Amino acid sequence: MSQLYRRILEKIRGRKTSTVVLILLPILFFFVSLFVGRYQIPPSMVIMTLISKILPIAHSYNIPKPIEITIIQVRLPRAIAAALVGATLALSGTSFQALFRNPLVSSQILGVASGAGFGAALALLLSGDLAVVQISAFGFGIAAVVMSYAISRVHKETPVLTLVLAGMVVGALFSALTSLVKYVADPYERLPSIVFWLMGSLAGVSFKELSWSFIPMIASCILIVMIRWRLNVLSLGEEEAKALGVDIEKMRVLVISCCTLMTSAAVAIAGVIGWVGLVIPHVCRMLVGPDHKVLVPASISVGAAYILAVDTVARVVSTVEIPLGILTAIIGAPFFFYLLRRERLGWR
Amino acid sequence: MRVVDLHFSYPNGKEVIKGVSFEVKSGDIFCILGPNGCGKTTLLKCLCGILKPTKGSIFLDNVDANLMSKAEYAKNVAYLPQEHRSVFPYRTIDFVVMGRAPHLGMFSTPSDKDYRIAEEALKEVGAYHLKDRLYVELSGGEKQLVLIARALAQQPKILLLDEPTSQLDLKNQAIVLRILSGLAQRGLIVIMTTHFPTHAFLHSNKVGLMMAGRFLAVGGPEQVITEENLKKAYGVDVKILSVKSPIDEGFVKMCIPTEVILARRCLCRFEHMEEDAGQEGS
Repeated sequence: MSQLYRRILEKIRGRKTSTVVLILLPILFFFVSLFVGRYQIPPSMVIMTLISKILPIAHSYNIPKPIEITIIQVRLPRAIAAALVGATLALSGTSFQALFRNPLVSSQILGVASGAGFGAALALLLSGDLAVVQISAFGFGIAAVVMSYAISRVHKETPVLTLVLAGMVVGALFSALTSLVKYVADPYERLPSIVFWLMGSLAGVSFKELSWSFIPMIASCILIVMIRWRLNVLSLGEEEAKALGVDIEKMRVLVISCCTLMTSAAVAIAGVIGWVGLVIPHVCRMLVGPDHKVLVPASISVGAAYILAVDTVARVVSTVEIPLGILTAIIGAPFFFYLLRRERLGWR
Repeated sequence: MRVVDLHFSYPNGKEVIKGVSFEVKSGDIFCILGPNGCGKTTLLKCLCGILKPTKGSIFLDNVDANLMSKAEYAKNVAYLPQEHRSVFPYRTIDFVVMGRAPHLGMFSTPSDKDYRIAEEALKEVGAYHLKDRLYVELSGGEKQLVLIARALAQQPKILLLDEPTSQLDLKNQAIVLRILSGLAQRGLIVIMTTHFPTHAFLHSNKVGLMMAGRFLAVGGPEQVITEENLKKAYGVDVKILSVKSPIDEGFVKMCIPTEVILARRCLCRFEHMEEDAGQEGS
């Protein structure tokens, strides 16, 4: 069994096969998530609906309105959101692990999630309008990281250790503030919505919400992909990167800003979803090795596929939807333990 | 490379380098000697751009280093740390190709040509067979060779090494020093710190003896490494022995602290006593 596993792994590690698999995987899950759901629609109908949106010829087919709404306005934006959220969380995890030279770091390290969580909770307490909640989550997520960075700036330089400590401080502060908001919230109306939001879910994502978070997410993804090889050099450590002529202060600001932008946007549309930024980079390192030239695209692809799959499970498996954040933790924690036991996780 | 009156202080105000000046030419191997904590490593870090000197200038081919960009400077000067701790298990070739960083733009990834340069560098240090191994799994000697290869992939004019031989066994020391001599013959400037005055005698044509942030003496090994100077720098009595080389006509010079000779004498006497005691017992 373990030999078979090893052979499969060897196969995947071969350059060409892995490229094909990694490209096809998220596309496959994307379509799967369009085809399945509580509201059963025959596959042919799904295909017709999709085609009718692209090609004018198919208009002659009569597609029932509820089916069109389900696919185009419910499942499609949700699938896109899942792919984006998964890709960005995994990618920011990979980038942060390289930047901080620590494989146990995830995108939450500088307090993004706590900040965004507080922003959302506050907005839910005060207004309850979904748009306000998202903007507030986005804003506070960025504010938290800016605070961490500002606190850690000593002598015009930012040592990594101080940065991580500052992130912990800021994270703790925002967690406390979130608790305060929960404490004063009306326990019958406001409190449940805050709690649900903090659990993380993609239910009710529409194109309107996607439209504004789409740009920061895609733009920062592209930037990280472009500088991905520099992450290798950064992961050598501050001094060696400097000796190799890399302007590490500039690079660090760039990477942190990109990761913060996309994580904040992801948290704003999906709530707090843990474990993705930690587990997926490790899985990818097992698959393609630690070279960021390949690891970065692989993280995007596997992250997207993972959240697409988990979200599909979350909405199909029971009549009441399971919050996504809970599922990722339930799957992520034991899987991480399994990884710890069986392989070196691609680092030591 | 010309260094003029270099000063460096840490942010807490402690001055570690207190005015260092020297000049090295293409083909030189410049050994920096000095007791622990005298500022050797700090000096190297200033020379390679990790630390910014508080005062003084570095000139490369008469161009002030302050006027160069970081990448531009790194194209000329490569630095080898005492030890590299890798977090991620990169393949050796991927590790060596990182030496190409100063030659590549921020948004580019290494091309086939860069990989070829990295492979050439590995061949030059005789470590080509390690190409696909993981860097973290290599032995200490192999790691040192790969680090040199990474520096060579930088295609620098100056190579700075921080105690390149201190972690190595006898054979690997010889290999590394042979490679460095070869590089100097090819026209590179090699600047290294070391704890062994004997190595400085054997392999360098220029020596700087450092003490408390300053050069006590700079010049050829014969002039700098004297019993008097070593006594001043290290605070111990040292004997310099001149041994006739068994291979060629020349002489080989070696340094041995007097205390070591004395300690050895004690040890010998102790051994004799043990032998005597053994004979009595039987």
